[in-house]
Amino acid sequence: MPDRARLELAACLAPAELERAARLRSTLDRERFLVARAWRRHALAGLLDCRADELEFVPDRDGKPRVPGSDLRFSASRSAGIAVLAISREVEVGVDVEVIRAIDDLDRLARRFMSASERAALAARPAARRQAGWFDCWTRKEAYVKGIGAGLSLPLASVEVWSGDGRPVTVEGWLVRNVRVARGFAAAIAGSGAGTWDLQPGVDREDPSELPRRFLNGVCSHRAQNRQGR
Amino acid sequence: MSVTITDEIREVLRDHARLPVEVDGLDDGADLFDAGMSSFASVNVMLALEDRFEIEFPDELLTRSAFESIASLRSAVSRLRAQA
Repeated sequence: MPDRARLELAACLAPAELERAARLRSTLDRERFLVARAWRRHALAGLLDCRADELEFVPDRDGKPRVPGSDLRFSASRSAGIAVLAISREVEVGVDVEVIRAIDDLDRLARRFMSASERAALAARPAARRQAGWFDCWTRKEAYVKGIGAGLSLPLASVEVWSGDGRPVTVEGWLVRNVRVARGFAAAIAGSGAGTWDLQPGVDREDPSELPRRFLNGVCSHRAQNRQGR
Repeated sequence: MSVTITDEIREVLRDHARLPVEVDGLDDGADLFDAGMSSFASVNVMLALEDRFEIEFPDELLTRSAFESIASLRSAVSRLRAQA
């Protein structure tokens, strides 16, 4: 990433964010962190009509970050060069993205983390599609658990969020669904009740400077509004 | 000096947590998810701990909070080893 782009990104971050970036071992990890954090700030600041560097994040009692005095709910996740950011004014949201990678012992994972019906749905898939199915289910669970915040101590096998296909599932009033963000990645979003949210996928897999260029040019995102339910 | 549970947990984290930071630079109480451990990496940490210590995490410990720090992992591993 050019030095100028890095400086522009770093300019809106808080000292604690810069310290955290400094602890990251690789240049690529540092750049991805800077991009994701700066992006989050710019996206939220755009909606709150304030400057990105003015934003303060404070965890609420469930441990989810909030901007004090605003009604914005948001959730962010990153994996191997893909960052996703979900924002809503109407519902609580949780989001998760994972790069789909080889799993040595899928049966063992399924036994531990999936419900009986989720395991049956996974087993019914052709072998070549099981790995992607696992990640679709897993990201749904993570999105839901992140969304409810206080649910971090929830046993994941007890959270049934996946029916084996792309259909959204409702659990405890939350709507959980997969979203396609990039080839080779699984992602899911969970929203509490009826309402709308924006999910913004950011891709910095090839070139982390692509993302800052996009928002520094004032095109903050290719925002796609998704309406819950059908 | 004998190898402690904490040392072994740190070794498992080095091999399986895919952390973007040095494991040796983390306090026992540091939040591993904050440090960059993905949710799925935490699953691989769990499997590796089970193999290393010959334990099985029961459902009620398969939670995000059990995996959030070296201290929480040590507490879970110690408890499971005592029961074994």
